[in-house]
Amino acid sequence: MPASKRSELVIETYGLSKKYRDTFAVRDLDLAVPAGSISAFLGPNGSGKTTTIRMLLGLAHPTAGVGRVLGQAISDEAACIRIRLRIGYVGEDKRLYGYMTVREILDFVRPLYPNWNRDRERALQERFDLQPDRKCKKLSKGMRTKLALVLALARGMDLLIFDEPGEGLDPAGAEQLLEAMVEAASDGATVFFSTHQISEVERIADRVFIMNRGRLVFQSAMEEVRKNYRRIHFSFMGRAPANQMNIDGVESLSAEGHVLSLVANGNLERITQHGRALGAVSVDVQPIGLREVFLETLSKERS
Amino acid sequence: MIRSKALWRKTWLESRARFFGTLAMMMFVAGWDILDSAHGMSRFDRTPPITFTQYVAYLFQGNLQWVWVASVLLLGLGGLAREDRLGTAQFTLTLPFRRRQWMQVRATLGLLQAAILALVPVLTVPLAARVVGRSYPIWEAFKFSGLLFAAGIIFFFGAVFRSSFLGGEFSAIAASGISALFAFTAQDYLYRWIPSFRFSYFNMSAFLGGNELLDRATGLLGGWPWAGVVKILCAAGVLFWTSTAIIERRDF
Repeated sequence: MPASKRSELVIETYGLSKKYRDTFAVRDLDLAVPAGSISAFLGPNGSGKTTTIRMLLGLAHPTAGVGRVLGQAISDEAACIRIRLRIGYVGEDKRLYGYMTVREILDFVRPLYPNWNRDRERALQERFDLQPDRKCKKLSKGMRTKLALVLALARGMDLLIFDEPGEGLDPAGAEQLLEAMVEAASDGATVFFSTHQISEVERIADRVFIMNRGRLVFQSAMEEVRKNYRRIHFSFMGRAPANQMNIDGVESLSAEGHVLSLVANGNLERITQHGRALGAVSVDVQPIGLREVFLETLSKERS
Repeated sequence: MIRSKALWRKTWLESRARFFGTLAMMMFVAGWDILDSAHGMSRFDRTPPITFTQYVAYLFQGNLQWVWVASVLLLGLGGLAREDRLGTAQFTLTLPFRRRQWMQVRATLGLLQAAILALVPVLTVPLAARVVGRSYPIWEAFKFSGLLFAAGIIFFFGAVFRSSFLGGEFSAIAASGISALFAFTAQDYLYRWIPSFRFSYFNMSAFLGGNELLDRATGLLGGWPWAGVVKILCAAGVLFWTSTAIIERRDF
């Protein structure tokens, strides 16, 4: 990869792998997250998202491959310190020190970050209605998540890494979370988050990565997904000719009686023309959401 | 500087309950055994009767020794493996510190706490002795406490080592208890095959109580087991290095 291109990437991995005994949790992962993006990291449970994030943060050691975050090698502990000074992280497990109050944990974390934004801390604390004298162990799961968000967002970070941040949040809290993520991105931070909430991804993400069984099986800009992905139904007088639809852009297809349905990724004009040439009497092209793309991708992987 | 202050503060907050608990335990045992010395000494059926300094020497070889070992084992608990079990390790390890720094601060603070605990008998024994109308030289208490501290280092780092891979509080305590029991009884078994082990520096109980240095007629200590201290420091260094290596290689 050319040096100029590399400098625009906030997260980059090449052949990153993590093996636990005989099982690969992550295998040959090549990930490239551009600076300034809001990138969503999707995948079913156990697909390797959390393991990838843990490797990026230096919490787990890669078995093979290399990774760089903010230009620093993740395998170098000294570099990891420089990474941690510039990132905000909210993990899957949002438990915090139970013996500290909200104020104490903020007082503890604040001096560790030279770019700490006190105004943002106050504003978020107020927005999330966090009581300073409440012990962390007395906070509900949702409130703990909000406190973890304050601790991550007030750092004056260049990169936010969230692992299922919305877990445990009520709808209002989830909305506040999305707002905070968009605000952080508009302030210049890159946001990289894993989630199962596809509707949230569609709302805020501009790039999406899908993992399955430890491998990266899909990556695209959201704009490309919206522009290129379509479900097309062809109706035929006779039996649908499923075996004659091998054409570029067809991601998956299914035939039932007279109807042939397929998911197309680009090349739409050519696909519809081909359908008509095969004798389709009606062609129905519908836009599809990320949820369908996600499910299609996984089912294709399974087959 | 500010950053390292936060590191120390967190380590202190997490260990302070154990520290104050063990401090109270040491003060109680050291103070009570002296305040109850009239009754305690009468239990030794000896002719001539046991002297007060001999009685104190027995205390350092008995109750105080056990309480001390339990205390340093407790001080060695906690750490990143424990945090992993509690679910806070990911938060801790994404703070801008090296894993080694957490280990170093924890070990240094633990040793400081152990040093303060070791001073408890130095102050309590002579003071309590005055209350019951007796006297005990502070320097003698200091020497016994010095032995406790020196031997305590190995128990402390043993606990640090076990806590680098045992996250459960109870499993770490149980493992510490078993290993302490082994350290206190192994020499009895070894003696059957190698008699020279009986009062060697491998006998932790004998080292803690200063058996080799004790003048049994006066109950006072003569000298200081430098060779044993050096061996203990070397073993502690190996344990700490191994513990740090385990934590640095571990996935969280």
